Amino acid sequence: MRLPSSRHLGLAVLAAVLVLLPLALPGTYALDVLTNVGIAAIVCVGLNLLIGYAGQISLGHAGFFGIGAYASAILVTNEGWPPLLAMLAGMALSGLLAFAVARPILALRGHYLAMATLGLGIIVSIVLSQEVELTGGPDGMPVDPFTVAGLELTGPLAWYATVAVSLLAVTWLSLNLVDSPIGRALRAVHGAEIAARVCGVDTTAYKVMVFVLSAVIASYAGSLYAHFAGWLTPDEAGFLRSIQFVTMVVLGGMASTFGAIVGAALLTALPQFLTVFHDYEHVLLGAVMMATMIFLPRGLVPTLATRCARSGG
Amino acid sequence: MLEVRGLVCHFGGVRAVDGVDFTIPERGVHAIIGPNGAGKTTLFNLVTGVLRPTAGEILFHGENVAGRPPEALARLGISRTFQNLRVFFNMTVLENVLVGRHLHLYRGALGALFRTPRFRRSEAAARDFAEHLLARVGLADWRHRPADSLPYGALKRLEIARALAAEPRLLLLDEPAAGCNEAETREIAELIAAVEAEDGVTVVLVEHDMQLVMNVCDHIIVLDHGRKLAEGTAREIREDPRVIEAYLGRAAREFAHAAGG
Ligand SMILES: Nc1ncnc2c1ncn2[C@@H]1O[C@H](COP(=O)(O)OP(=O)(O)OP(=O)(O)O)[C@@H](O)[C@H]1O
Ligand SMILES: [Mg+2]
Repeated sequence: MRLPSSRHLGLAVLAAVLVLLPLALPGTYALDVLTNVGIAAIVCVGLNLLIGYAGQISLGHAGFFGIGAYASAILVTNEGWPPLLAMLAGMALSGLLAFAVARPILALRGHYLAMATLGLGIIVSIVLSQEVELTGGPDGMPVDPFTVAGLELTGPLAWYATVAVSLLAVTWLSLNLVDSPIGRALRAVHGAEIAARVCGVDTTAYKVMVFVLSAVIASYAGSLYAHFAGWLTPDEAGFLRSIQFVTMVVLGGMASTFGAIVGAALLTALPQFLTVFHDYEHVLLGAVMMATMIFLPRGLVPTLATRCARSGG
Repeated sequence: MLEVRGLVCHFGGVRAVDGVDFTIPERGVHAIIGPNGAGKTTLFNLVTGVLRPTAGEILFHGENVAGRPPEALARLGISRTFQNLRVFFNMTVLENVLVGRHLHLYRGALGALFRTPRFRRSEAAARDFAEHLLARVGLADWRHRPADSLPYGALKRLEIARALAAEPRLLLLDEPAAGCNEAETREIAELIAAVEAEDGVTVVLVEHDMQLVMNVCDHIIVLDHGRKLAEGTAREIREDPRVIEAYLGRAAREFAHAAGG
């Protein structure tokens, strides 16, 4: 994704695939699965910026997804806010929380962020389960439909289109960031951290910025999910969901925006069609993670891209 | 411009830099020479914030900057290359130079995310500047190649281009001609002279190639065992008996030792 032309080409291919998929897989059920794929892919594109480029791991991104989802559920359904405003409130809250956590922690070297986000995710899901008055507790709560200016977003195709456009937009933003002084600075830190600092790169500030951005994106996806599903439980903010997101990014390929989308697609769609996957999800996620680390440490998409480039000439 | 007073850096029992004083005036090409292990690279690491001194002062334009992090010193206009290459091998040649240009770029997140006109102007100008620098060090044709596909000599010049992209006021070059053949060494000497004369950059270089040092440097500092052994013009240094002893005496002793063992 180095040249501007390849960035545009990738976006064009993604757009074409997003248009063709519902034609190839018609029917309400398939569209619902595709919409879920899109929502997970939005989270993963943001999370890939953090894992693949800033070299940090978040084990609590479902917490931000949950904050967005419950901000929409509570503010719209209980308080009667306009959905768009509730969504923005969730994004602001996620962003502030991410900043407050990351600022002191990313100044330290090492994998402290993984620990801190693990704790944060657990706290968020416990609060959501305990605050029964507000959230309905473990049984969950209903969520009102998404409306803008009196128009209601209904039907699987309308939802699919909304999520697809969102995914395209988030992918565009992500590719833009990677091909900017910020993205180059983060890649330079991977290449030679001392040299990057001698060039004037303030690595901590960029890591914080990317973490906040990925949290805001997860929150946005959470809000979409809440209205789309119409019913919300604290599981959506739980540890297993966080691990799912990380596994998707690792499987698809770290530091590959399109890899994150492929990883999200595989791990969202497979359990829908293979019930085995559904029953043994914990075990299989662990197995996928280990197998990827051992056999495809760079992830699916970067590995395949290199192979194709080689055999192509 | 740069003044070092009583600078000390110890690694456990190793006294890599052991009480060094010198002054580098504005402008000119200066050299720091000395046998292997004399403490030259450690000195550069101290001046660029890569290492913190055990004791002593580093004054840059009169301000004590000892112990500040590298990114802070970069903002003051100090730039360098590395003896052991520290190239961004995961990026293209052009991108390496663009990272060197970092401090001159528009770096706002919103501008980058939405590619505002201001952002695009800044990026386009940076690309022009970087391509101009790559042409200057003879790497123009390689600009879109991944950095890890370049030969050693080209990587040395890439590091110089990256350092120049910051438009530094003080440029430290750690063995810029190491591993280069005669023709390449001559080109690097010309480049260093031009950077001083045309861009007004103060250059300090560490180099074992004495011909290069004697040709381009007006002022030479000799280190040995972490201490300053001598200082002066090329001619003064060439004729200084302590310098001759430090270089030849050691070589002679090592030769005798090797022959005896
Ligand atoms: N990070 C470090 N930890 C421990 N010892 C070090 C470290 N860096 C340098 N030294 C030691 O300090 C001494 C000076 O090393 P330095 O690299 O500064 O020498 P130099 O003059 O650059 O030599 P050369 O000409 O071989 O590059 C050497 O004895 C070296 O082994
Ligand atoms: Mg050295």
